[in-house]
Amino acid sequence: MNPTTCYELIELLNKSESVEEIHDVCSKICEHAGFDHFLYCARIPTSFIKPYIIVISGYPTDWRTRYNEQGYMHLDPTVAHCATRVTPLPWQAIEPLIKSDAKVQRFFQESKDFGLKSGISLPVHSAHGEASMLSLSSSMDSTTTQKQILESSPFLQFIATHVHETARRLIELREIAPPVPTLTDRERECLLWSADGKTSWEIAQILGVSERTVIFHLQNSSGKLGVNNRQHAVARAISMGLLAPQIG
Amino acid sequence: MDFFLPDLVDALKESSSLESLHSNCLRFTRELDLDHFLFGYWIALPEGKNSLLVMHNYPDPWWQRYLVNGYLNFDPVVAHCTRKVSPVRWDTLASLASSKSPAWALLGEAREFGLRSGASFPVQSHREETTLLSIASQRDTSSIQGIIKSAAPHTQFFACHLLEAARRIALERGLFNNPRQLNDFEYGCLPLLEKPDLQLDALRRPLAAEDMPG
Repeated sequence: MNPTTCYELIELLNKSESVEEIHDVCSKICEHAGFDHFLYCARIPTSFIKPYIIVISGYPTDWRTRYNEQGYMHLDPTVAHCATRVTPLPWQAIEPLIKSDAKVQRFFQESKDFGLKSGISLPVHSAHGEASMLSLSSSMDSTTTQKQILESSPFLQFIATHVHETARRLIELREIAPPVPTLTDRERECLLWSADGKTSWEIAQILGVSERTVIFHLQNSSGKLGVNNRQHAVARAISMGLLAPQIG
Repeated sequence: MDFFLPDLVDALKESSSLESLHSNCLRFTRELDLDHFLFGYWIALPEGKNSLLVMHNYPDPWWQRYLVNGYLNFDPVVAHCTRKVSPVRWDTLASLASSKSPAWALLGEAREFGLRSGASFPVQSHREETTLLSIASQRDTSSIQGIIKSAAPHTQFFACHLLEAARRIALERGLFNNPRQLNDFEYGCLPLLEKPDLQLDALRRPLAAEDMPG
């Protein structure tokens, strides 16, 4: 891949207005970078137990079905990598892990049977606790694709950030997933003290306002977060990245 | 770029000190024929007194002015990098800001101190970490636009590896937990050590009306 192609693909992403269009651009990314399949997956932390998951798949359908049925997500080392790291993962880098774990070995052998023989996974994390991953795979062995994957990885990581920005834009525009609400400073402050175990009365003393005002702000934030009580509001706000430990 | 980037990424993986990260950033900047860089690493800690680490070769008078005036609070580059995952060229931020906004004034002042053009690359992680790598030049945007455009994918890639290297070193050296153990260089990289009043959440707020176009 070269910079010109890279920017042409980004331009297409910037113009995309539907999931189908993102799918088409991802197919073009595969084509230009010498891959056969892609999968884009994003986790939007709308809830601790059940986050909102977006999947745009160019993987073989049979493999996707099997992957889901077998719960391979919990075994897949590319998912584990992308959940915690920010650097790209060329699949050949996990060959030692594959060899040392029989379950992972079986998983990768199966994926190879479905035509996913080598590839790269690219993580992107963003504010508010979102995490996404773009995986591109080839039906050729890693010995054949290794050089091409390493050379194109800066371009692919760069494109992955734009795929995520595009998906995020669609989420906001088309309400694919519930939008992240905006809390006022006071609402955030009340939730923060609430997360520290303070009662409404105590928060009122700390902030120098009436208890009724604190209750008002907490009820407002609960409404915005779509929850029924303050414990749930605190949990939801943390999971959405709206609340974090304070410094100093 | 293909001939120096793999070496630099390997060097980052092997770096065990902030000095080493600094010299790798400097080398990266020079290889691109640019003049300045700044790497900012912000992490939310439950009990820390400071969570901002900054390495740079910006003109010292500008950096001092930036800190004294609390420019971090309304720097449009920082605002972009705490909310977005894709890079931003500074001239696009200047064109978006209202000419009466503090953001516009800040970009103008930076130009007077030799930071005439540049771009910034955000990387965020699952651990409430936010980083930005800025690369800048004393030349006008028109003369470095080509460099920035062709270097952007490689800079984003370098920035990802830089975050992981910085995280590893910060943990190994206990940078945020043991300020008394810091050497002079490390101490200099923690500008808010005695002034921990700026918080990442504040930077994530929506832009103020005066920062918006028109």
